[in-house]
Parts: sequence; C-alpha cells; structure tokens
Amino acid sequence: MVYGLLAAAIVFGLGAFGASIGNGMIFSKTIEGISRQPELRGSLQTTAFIGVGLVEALPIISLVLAFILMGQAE
Amino acid sequence: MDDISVVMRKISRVTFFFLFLGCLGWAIKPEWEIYFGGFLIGAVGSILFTWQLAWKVIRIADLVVGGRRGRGFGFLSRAAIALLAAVISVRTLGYDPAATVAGLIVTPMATLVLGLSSIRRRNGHPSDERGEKQ
Repeated sequence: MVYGLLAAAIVFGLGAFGASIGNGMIFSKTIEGISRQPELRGSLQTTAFIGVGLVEALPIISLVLAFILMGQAE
Repeated sequence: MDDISVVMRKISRVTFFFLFLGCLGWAIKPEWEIYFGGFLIGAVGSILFTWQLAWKVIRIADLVVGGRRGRGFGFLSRAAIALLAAVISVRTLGYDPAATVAGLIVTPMATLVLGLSSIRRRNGHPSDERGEKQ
C-alpha cells in the first residue's frame, strides 16, 4: 500500500512540476506580449491556448494515473 | 493564426467525431462496454476541461487588456473535472481505467494536430526558397 501511494505521489508530483514551469513560461510571455501589443491579442491567446492545452495534458493524465494507482494500493 | 473560437470549434468537432466512434463501437460490440464507456466518459471530461481552458485564456486576456491582475489559471478546476470523470468511470461505473485515460487525451491530441497544422500553414512549406510563400 505504501508503495502504491509513493508511486502516485511521484507520478503526480513530477507531472505537476514540469507543467507548472511550462504554464508559467507560456502565460508570462503571453501576458507580456498582450501588454506590449494589445492588437495581437487574438493571435497570442490562441497560441497560448494551444500551448497550455498540450502542457496541461501531462499533469491531468498523471493525476488520473495517480488516482488509479491509489485505488490499486487500497 | 486562427481565432480561439475557430480553434475550439475544430477541437469540438474532432472530439464529437471520436464520441460518435465510441458510441458506434459500443453499439456494434456491446460486450466491450467497459472500454467504450470509459473512453466516452474520458472524452466528455476532456472536452469539458478544454472548454474551461479556452474560457480561462480569454478571461486572462481580458484582464490584461483592462490592466487588471488575474488570480490563477484554473488548473485545479480542470484537474477536478478530469478526476471527476475518472471517479465516475472507474469507481462508480467500473469501466476500464486505461480507456478512460485514452478518452482524456482526445482533446490534447486534437489540439496538438490542429496547432501543428496551424503553424505549418502560417510558416509555409519548409522547402520553399528562403521561406517565401508561393
């Protein structure tokens, strides 16, 4: 049971760690770009949406995997 | 690059196509209910959190243009939606966990394909001389 919980924690922790860095970079650059050139807002927010959509897939899947691992550990 | 609503409409269309395929598979092979059911619930969860992400990105852009500060990017809401889909699928209905995860990655895969095609369309073909569009 302990190993299952440990695996769940590692899976979600590492997934969230990478995604937090990626999300932070994407949103900071998007906000910076929109602040500098508000007329490019449409293009920038679409690019941010595609980037965040891809980056966030990993932690969300790792969360579900962690949940499944926790279920198997019980 | 396309507007975010156009991209969302394309992603929704691709996801609905996969939902249709799941329903068709369930109708043809009812004994594989645990796989198709898990896939369908995962795909519904993935389209919900993608809609939430699009709403959040638009809202953050509105805040930036208005000169105000936003609070958070809504990851917890999206993670909760995915977890809810997994709980309903795996714990409540007893569907296959791997099929649920496969359903959850439908919209990220659609986003990847649409994003790559959009970048390719914007940059032109790589074999174009000096990157000029013909």
